[in-house]
Amino acid sequence: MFRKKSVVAEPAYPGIEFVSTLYDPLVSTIKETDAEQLNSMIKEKLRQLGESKEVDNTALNEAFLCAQKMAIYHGVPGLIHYTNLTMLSIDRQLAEGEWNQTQGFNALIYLRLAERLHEQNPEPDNRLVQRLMPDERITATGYWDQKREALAWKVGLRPGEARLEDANSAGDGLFQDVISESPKQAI
Amino acid sequence: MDSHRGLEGVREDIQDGVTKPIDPNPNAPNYPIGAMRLLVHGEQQRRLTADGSLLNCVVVERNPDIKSYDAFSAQKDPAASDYDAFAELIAKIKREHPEANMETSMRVQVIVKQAAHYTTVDLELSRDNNTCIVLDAGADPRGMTKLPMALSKLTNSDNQPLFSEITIIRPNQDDGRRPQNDLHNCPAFSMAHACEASKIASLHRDLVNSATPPNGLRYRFIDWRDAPPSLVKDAQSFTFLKDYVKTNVRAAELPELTDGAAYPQKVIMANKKKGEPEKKITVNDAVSQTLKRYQQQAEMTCKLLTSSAVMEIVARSPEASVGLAVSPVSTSRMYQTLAGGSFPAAKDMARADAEAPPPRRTLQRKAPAVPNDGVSQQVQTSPLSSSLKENVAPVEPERRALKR
Repeated sequence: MFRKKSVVAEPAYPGIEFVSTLYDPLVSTIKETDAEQLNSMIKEKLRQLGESKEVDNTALNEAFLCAQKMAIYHGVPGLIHYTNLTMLSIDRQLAEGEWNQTQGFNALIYLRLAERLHEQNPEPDNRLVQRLMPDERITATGYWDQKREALAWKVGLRPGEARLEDANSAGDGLFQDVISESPKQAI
Repeated sequence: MDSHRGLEGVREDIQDGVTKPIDPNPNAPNYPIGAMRLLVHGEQQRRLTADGSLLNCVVVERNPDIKSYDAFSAQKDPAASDYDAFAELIAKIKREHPEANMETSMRVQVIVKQAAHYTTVDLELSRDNNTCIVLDAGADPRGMTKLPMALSKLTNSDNQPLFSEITIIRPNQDDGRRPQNDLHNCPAFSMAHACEASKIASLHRDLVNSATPPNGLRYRFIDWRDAPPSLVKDAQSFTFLKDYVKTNVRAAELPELTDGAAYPQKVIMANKKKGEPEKKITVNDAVSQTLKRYQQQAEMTCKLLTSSAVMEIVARSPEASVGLAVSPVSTSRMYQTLAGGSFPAAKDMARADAEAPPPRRTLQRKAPAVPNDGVSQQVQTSPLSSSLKENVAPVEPERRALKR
């Protein structure tokens, strides 16, 4: 089968390396950096997850690592995948009698980061971004609002609530860190 | 003369923070930093009285005045948000505190408030080596990302990184579980983590040994499931706790971890999608009880202070909280009276401390100065300004000198 050649990428933003929750050492076990290839790997992991009868998180974890790698090297599409995988993870945990609200809340922060990065650079020619956020073709902000509301519901938050604003504000703060590189502070 | 005692004169939300459970309402105000300072103060006094051990813990609000995204975006000026109260505090401790530069190490626990969120950072500082551990029970990116980022940027006089490695305790790698599952208990976890971490003398050595090797960014990661039992005992997920008992041999150190029946339980209603029925979820509610014990201590401690003394603790600058000599406090008699008496919090805590390793005075060197009633009354002889109502407490002369 024909397989497209990978394109080796560089981290997408000057400060993205500091998003250490994403930059877990295990992420470096994923050697692939090409966005389309990572996207295919995530889809394959999700297919495996769908076929599995076991309560096994292996495929989901591997998909998370690919999404994290994509977030570091390509920004927005990786963060969108990360959000989608988190929603799936919350559903799976809920089925097992657990409600991991903090995991969803953290994804709300990353979703806001993605929104800000996309606002700064909409990448109209990026077909992967376009495929991942089809609602954007309908309205400029439709995708982000809909996604945020769906994720917020999963963690018990509703639009307009203070905690949701807190997540947005934290995402804004991350955005500032990711796009800027402030100097070292000598003591 | 001010006849107010204890919490009477402080802001209502701070009183609530010391006397009521944390409000789970997503629109509830943030847990106030003043209440957190009173919790820390209560525990410091209890330890002093119980066995003379010291808790070197400070509470700092990181960039409360950070510019909003819109202002930042409009100005295109990243430097507008460069000031970092947390980094400045650590730099100041290292620069000005002699004990942070000795051969033997000094431990400090820093509870950091960032907007609504609280995280604990445990520091071990010495002449030759400085290490730090980030403990964020909910793995919030503000704790897991912004604080390590600030720590990684600190440099010493040789322009070398102040912290050669930064250890971050992360959610379990294979299932994403972490101690905090809900959206409102981060202050309780932070307080508990600061207090419990301070009791483990070998924490930094232990965690570095079991953490992953540092990545290119000098970060080491360790799963919560590999953390010491006293740091995970309040985890809200029963699955997390069962997994911990199964995989961590040290779980046996805490009987409540191996005896599931001992967990206090709470039922919450989860709702994952608009229009779908709610689902009942049972969680471990131990963290609420832990917080309650700290609150009871704080409340009892405050009752023996005038309200202006309480307000001074509430408004205390973090720099002033580190490294001052221990001053006599008026609460010691209370705890002596209560030892084995009717105050359940003191009793439980004393038992827990007795089971813990002996206090490490070499590490927890000094406790912050506390204005006793006498000092407070002297302050009160001057007319109380309305600013006191805003929790701007008068500053003692020696503290003013220190600030300079």
